[in-house]
Amino acid sequence: MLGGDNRASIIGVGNTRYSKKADGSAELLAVEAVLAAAADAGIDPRQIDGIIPYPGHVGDDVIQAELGLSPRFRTTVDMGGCSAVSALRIASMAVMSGAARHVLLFRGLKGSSGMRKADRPSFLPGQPFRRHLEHVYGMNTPAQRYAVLCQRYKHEYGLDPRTLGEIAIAARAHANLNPGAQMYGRELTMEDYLAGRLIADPYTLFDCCLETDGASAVIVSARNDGRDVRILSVAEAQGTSPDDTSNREPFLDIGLTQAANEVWNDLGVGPEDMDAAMIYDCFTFEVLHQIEEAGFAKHGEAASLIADGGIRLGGKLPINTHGGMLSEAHQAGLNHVVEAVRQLRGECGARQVDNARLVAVTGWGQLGDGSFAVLGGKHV
Amino acid sequence: MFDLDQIPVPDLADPNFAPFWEGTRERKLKIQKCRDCGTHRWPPRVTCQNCRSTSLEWVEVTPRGTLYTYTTVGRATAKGFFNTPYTVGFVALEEPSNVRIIGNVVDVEPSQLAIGMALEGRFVPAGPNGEMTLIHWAPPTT
Repeated sequence: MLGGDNRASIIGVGNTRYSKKADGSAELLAVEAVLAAAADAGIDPRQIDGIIPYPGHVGDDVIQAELGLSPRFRTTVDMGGCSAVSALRIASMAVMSGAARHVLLFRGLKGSSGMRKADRPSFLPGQPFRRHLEHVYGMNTPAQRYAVLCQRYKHEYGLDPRTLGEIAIAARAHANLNPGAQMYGRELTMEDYLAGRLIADPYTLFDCCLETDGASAVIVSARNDGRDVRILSVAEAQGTSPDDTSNREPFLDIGLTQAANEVWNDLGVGPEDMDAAMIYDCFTFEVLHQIEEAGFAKHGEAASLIADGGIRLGGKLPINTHGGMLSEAHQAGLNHVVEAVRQLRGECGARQVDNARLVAVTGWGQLGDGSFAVLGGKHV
Repeated sequence: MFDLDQIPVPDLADPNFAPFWEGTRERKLKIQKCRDCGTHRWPPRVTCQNCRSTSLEWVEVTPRGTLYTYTTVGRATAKGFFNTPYTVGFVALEEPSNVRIIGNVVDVEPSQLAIGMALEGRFVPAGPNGEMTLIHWAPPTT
């Protein structure tokens, strides 16, 4: 059996409606998502005995108190957008070791109508570097920090704005097949994309992910019944100089390179075996960057995979069939895990990938921490 | 272009950064150098990445280099930077060539920015009372 018998599973996923402005509180959103995941798993929420919350979002104490949980395992994975997939790994270890049976991963935030990203406390590493070397030059947002990576790539390999445009438009086309997506029903054309206002060159409006009011939850378990999705292999790593990108060498080095290699070697399958990939898409270029670092294309060659519908449904490698963070919702990557599970269970309706058996999921955060998982459906 | 007096001032007495800020105040760019193996390093760290020595000195280097990468910001997000566009660049020093310094690139139209272009540092007082001296980078005048 691929990945061996002794693997953890994802037994339940849930999410709220994603919107620009939710009526209820962030706590209510989180509770709704957790209850939905427990119902999806077919367990009583009180059977959840492990919790991994997300830094800066609704805390585990709130969920414990609201739902009367008594966890025997809790920890925090503080790796920014890398946390969702890294937490899958920690949760797998917890359930396989017997430290817990059902571990809940969740996040809930009013990230759009509440405080916006630039105003929220930052959990980035190297805060002294941020204060002494970046804020004093007007550099204080992810868009700005990641724009310089894209700019350098553009110099080294060449990059047509329309390639980034296709990443944004493919995400939107997928979101338009997903009634749960924040941008459902809102078409995006190349003309719209190219007219986007400047955020941080080369990034314009539609290169940047959404900010979202909403919550999502995933339950990892030692249970492995027919419908459960198995976590076949998962790894994480950090780029060199994980607290500083300015003097990183190689400049485009990220943790995903190593994490993906570990997973390919562990499983004995490769990029060509994946039926779809959910790639952490904080910005359009980071999709391209990770396509290359995870091995789906060689360095400098991702543009040819992206062209001609290659990353759309029906293409060579459908990417972010839910619309991703660019067009479904910002759930710091947990929605990517949720979508992978739904694809593998064949529940995606109009956006279903035919016969999806293996789906890759990436995490990216904290200036280049990377995580990588391959999830498998019941026929694997 | 910049509201220099509104830029937040970090803790200039932070031992990892104080010699740097004292340097810029004297219009000098100072970076760290390992006393044992001579490797230059930036941003400031307590350990040499080459030989693990924690013995270091701060040395003056020439504020000249080339643009390694950059972004021109169109959406204002930071205190002191409400007027857009402005540009933040990473400048690869001429010597030592393994060091890149972050700073605003000035006196270049955004459309004229190019990776590899030559730049030299200018020392610019900032903060509510001019208590910190920043480095801006512009095409060489000579």
